[in-house]
Amino acid sequence: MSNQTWTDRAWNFFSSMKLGLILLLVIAVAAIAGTVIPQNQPPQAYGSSYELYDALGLTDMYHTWWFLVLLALLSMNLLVCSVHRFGALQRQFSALPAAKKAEDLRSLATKATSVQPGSVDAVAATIATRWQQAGYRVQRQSDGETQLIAADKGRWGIWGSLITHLGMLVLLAGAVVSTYMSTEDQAPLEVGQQVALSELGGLLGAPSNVAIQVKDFKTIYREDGTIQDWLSTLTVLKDGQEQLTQTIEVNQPLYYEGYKFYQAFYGANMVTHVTGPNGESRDVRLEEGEAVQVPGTKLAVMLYRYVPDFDPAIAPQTKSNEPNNPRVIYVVYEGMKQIDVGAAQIGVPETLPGGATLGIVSHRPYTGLLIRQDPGVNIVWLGCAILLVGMGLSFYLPYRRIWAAIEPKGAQATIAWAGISPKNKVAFVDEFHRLTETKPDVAKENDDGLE
Amino acid sequence: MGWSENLLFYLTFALYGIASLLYVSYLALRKPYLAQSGYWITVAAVTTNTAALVLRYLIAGYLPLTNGYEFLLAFSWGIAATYLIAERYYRIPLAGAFVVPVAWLILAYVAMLMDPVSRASRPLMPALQSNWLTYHVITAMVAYGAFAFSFGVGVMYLWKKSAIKSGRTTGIGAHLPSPERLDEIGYRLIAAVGFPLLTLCIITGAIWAEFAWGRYWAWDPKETWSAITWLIYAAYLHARHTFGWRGNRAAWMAIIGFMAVLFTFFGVNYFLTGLHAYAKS
Ligand code: HEM
Repeated sequence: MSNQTWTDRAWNFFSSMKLGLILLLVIAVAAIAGTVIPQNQPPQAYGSSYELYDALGLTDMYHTWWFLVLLALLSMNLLVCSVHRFGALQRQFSALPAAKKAEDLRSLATKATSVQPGSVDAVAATIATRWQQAGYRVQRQSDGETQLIAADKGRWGIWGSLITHLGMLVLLAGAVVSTYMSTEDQAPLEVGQQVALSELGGLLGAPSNVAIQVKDFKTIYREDGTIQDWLSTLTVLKDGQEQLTQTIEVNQPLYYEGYKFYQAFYGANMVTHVTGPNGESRDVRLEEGEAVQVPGTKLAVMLYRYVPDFDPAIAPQTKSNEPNNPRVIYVVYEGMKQIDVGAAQIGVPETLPGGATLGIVSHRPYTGLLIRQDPGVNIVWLGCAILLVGMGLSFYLPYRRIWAAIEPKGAQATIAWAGISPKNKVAFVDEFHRLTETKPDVAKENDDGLE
Repeated sequence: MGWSENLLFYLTFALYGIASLLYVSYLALRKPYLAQSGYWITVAAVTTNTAALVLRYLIAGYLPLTNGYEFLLAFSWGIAATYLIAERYYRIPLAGAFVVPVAWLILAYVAMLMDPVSRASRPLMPALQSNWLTYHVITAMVAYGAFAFSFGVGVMYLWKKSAIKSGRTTGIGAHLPSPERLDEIGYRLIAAVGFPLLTLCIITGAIWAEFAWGRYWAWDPKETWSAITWLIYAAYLHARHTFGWRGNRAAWMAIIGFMAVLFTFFGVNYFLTGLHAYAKS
């Protein structure tokens, strides 16, 4: 060992499966810690332990240096291990399994013997044909009087684990790209408004000649008044020219040159004018659920909800999605107590208890867009696809080998059979008996020939 | 929830209960007719379980996999259906005593701890209206069913081993299948069903999240726990190949893996918070 160079040692270290196993378990344990300790909270949330947590990176664990080191080690391990195993897999894949003599077959787990009439050659030919028909690669050779047959099937399965590992590497690479190269920002936009991507501070490096404009925005209600969806009709402008117009909804973003526009939130700006009994007035911009103090009184008005098609019989539900009778339902509070409710028409002042007035000057809904650009996503999907192909090969195309050694015995032939399929023993035992036309050994039924 | 939905739920619950009882009696008495009737009662239970899911589909107008009640109903279905298929394949009726009660316990949880309001179907919030969510939950259901089964088989393995060790030739332990067979069945359930489907479940979930929120992975506790579960089973598969971790260790890992599955499903909702919190009730 001592004459190993440090590169040999590093290679051995990184190609070791022991390291892989330890890494998988350590990453699992670290990930558990991250679900128990709340992540990305303000310092107060951690109380007196904040300094310690912060120093150890526990407040943003999945992006802390040591967690990334663990993932980097796992990637190194996967890479080195794949390179390391490539040659052996290649050899196993291209070469047929070596022929085995009858006495060697006896040491295998799944085995049987039988006697058949006919010459050794004729029997061997029948077996070879039968196995070929079952999809096996077959090789026949003579060993004196004896005929030896070796065959295998499912050899693409040999590559399964290697392909899975490559998929995992591609996936991790994509995740790194996402973490360090993605940008995003949010924009609340009223109908008619537009914003250039470069004006959104979060979208670093965004082109300044591309803008997004909101053509229309609608909230779709169900009959029971719950919200079914939000629809925003968006137009992408480049140098002021329309490029693309599309209606987006939740789960259906718009794509434009690497940018994705998501329906993320919604709201409405309501310009509100309140006048107290003494004539003092106040103008504010409110959203649903927000309140304003009425000047000179102990009252406050909260704008509860905008209803596009108001009908007193079903309020606060709306009759339809169309603004046939738009109203804003408001609640008047005195301290914590509700003392009045009403439904104000837009632009028509309402009289409040005690002589104050409330005017909702305008109601302008806005759509909340999330705009994201993430060059890592497609790399991650590619990694996932490779990973799934690898797993499919590994688990559903198990590599199996089968042998026969046929010896003459008078006018008959005695045959010693054996087979191996390390990844799918139970199903293989059935296949083995079908291929060899033998019956399972009833005395050994209990362990089915598994070692 | 209407009376017909309630009827189907309690019928399914009762049938799993009876089937569990029959299988447990079979474990103790080993009269073949007990296992046979257990099997057919489980078939009946899976039928009413399917009917309950179909009825919910007709009432709600979407695949019934979006609130806790619907998912638990689907979870019990996944466990029992996986069991029935595997039983045809491997013929180990004794496993029924270890698997069918898990399906029953899940519905017992619903019956005892979920109030009618949280069982009722509710309008879907916009983010949940996605086909990817459906694939996400279906794959989870089958994966979890296979993991529940491998858990049952792991328990049988440990029981069998202790029976062999103490040299008993009578009793339940002596009649369990050979340790090698149990070990192999547990392995196949994880390798051929549970692990690939959990992988698909995580991937379809990521695709859904990408469509809904523009984030394929956000380290939300539920996501993270599904990844932890996945890492545990990946470790199981690798340990089996290199260190030959079969037998006791493999059985324990199958048990720990299923604990992680249960924590992902129940624990995360009750002990931790996150994006998936809307699935709370
Ligand atoms: C998250 C990371 C990993 C995943 C998803 C993964 C996945 C897989 C899968 C699906 C198989 C086939 C298993 C089977 O046939 O039972 C496999 C086999 C294997 N893995 Fe990994 N693996 C990972 C990490 C590693 C690491 C770090 C090593 C380190 C050396 C490693 C070494 C191996 C080896 C040597 C096999 C071959 C087993 C065989 O074919 O007999 N794996 N892996």
